[in-house]
Amino acid sequence: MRHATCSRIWEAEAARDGRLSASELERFELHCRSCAICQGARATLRSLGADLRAADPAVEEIAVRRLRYSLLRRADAALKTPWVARSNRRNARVAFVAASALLAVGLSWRVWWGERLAQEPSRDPSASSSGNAAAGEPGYEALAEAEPGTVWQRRRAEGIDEIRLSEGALSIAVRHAASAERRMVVRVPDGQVLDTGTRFRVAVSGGRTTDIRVSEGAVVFQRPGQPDVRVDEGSSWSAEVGPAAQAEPSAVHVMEPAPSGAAARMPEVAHPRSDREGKHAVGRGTRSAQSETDGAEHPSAEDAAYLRWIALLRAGRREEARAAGLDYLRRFPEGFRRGEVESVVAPRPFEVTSKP
Amino acid sequence: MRLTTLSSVTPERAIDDALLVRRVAEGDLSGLGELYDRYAGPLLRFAARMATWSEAEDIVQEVFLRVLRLAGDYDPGAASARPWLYALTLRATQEHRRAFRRWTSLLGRFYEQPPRELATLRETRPDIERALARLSPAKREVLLLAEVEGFGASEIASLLGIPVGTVWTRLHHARLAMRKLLESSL
Repeated sequence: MRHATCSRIWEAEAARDGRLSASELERFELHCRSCAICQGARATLRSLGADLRAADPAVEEIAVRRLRYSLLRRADAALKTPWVARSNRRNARVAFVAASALLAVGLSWRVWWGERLAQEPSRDPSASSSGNAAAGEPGYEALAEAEPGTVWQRRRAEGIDEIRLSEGALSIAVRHAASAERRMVVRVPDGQVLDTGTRFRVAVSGGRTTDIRVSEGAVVFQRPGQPDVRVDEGSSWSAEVGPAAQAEPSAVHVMEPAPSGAAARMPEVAHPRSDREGKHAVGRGTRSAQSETDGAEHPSAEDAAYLRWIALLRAGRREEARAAGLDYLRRFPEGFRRGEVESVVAPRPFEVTSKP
Repeated sequence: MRLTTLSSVTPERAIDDALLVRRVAEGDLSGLGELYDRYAGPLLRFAARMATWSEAEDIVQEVFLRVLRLAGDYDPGAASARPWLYALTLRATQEHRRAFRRWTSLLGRFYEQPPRELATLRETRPDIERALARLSPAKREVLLLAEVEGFGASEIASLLGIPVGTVWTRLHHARLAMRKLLESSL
């Protein structure tokens, strides 16, 4: 049995693709009114287009935003180094020689400074997983040594050498002349530690600062809504969750009056303690989390980690949410939503929990 | 005639696009952000239809990084940045596909088996998407640009650098192939 057909059926597709002139189109429209075959052909073409449009890949807003952030960061980095692309071969050679010289100086300084730190009795060389030196500026040198499992980042800009410590412990040695412009600040989830020319160690656990020890010079620990705490040479500061903690005479100074209730919220134990005491408590991993996160996790994994955290928060499962938040911070130190997660995970650290 | 009118743009949008691209050319990243906000969604959808979703993310990111490099060459008199961005997306997709072919070819040689077709590596999708994935890239491009993105045949010809007649021929064969694939899947 033969299918009925029409000699003008090809015009259905031609009309759709804009191949017909206005008069040809008009004549075809007239024809279609009386030709069921051509009407059917037009309907089939329309339905194919509609089906294709309906099979719309879902574009999730969260992915679009993450991609935007990543794009602008890459674009920013690309804009900062246009000279590399524009420079001619001669300039490139000059730049190479200069960079090699700087590298040699930097390495020499790193070796010299590393040896100095290695002589420090409090440091446990076997525990150190990564170092990050800043050099090349007159009157300013700094070295940060991370213990295993430490999550941290370092940024140097506008006269500030900034370290962001999310979890773990860092031993930091800073040397700068009084005239030096650059200053070191360690951002911790619950505040910041300002150095005043010193060697010190900062430990963060569970989103809060747990320990600051100063072996040389002094630091100031600042927290929102809390008095500044100055920790002098040979002293330490530690936070212990629990109402029974008592302050002891020490070289730790509260620098401004505590607001009412602050002490109850955040009992502090401050006692002189030599850095020679004991091993550092922090350091659960076997390799630096910073290098761990350099691995290429698919970007959607970041979305998944973030959404899991959000879901737990909304479900009121606070402890699990907190763990999920910390997991996010550990896995994605450069994550798009880092600020948001930090702002929620970080303010909780000094809540008092009663001991049985 | 839908195909020749959908891609038209308002003069305001065209001026905006030209300004945005000029800002990008001057190193203003906020211009790039605005351009992204305006076109990233449609480009992601288009790229996801041409490749996989995860590839689409890479492709679109690459497209906007190219915008950063090529903004200085953008024709300020162009009616809209849309065709330009789609052309960049097509190019990035084709390059991605070539890289993917090289990779599967290497894998195939490694395992001494012929490389699998792209379509067989995809996740199972509804009929229409599966049929689309089985089209040749050349047919898929013109079909999507015409039926989904609403570009006219002459615009597609200009985007792909092929004659208009070739666009019509490819469209015809793409529709025929889709119909056959959809019928065979019933």
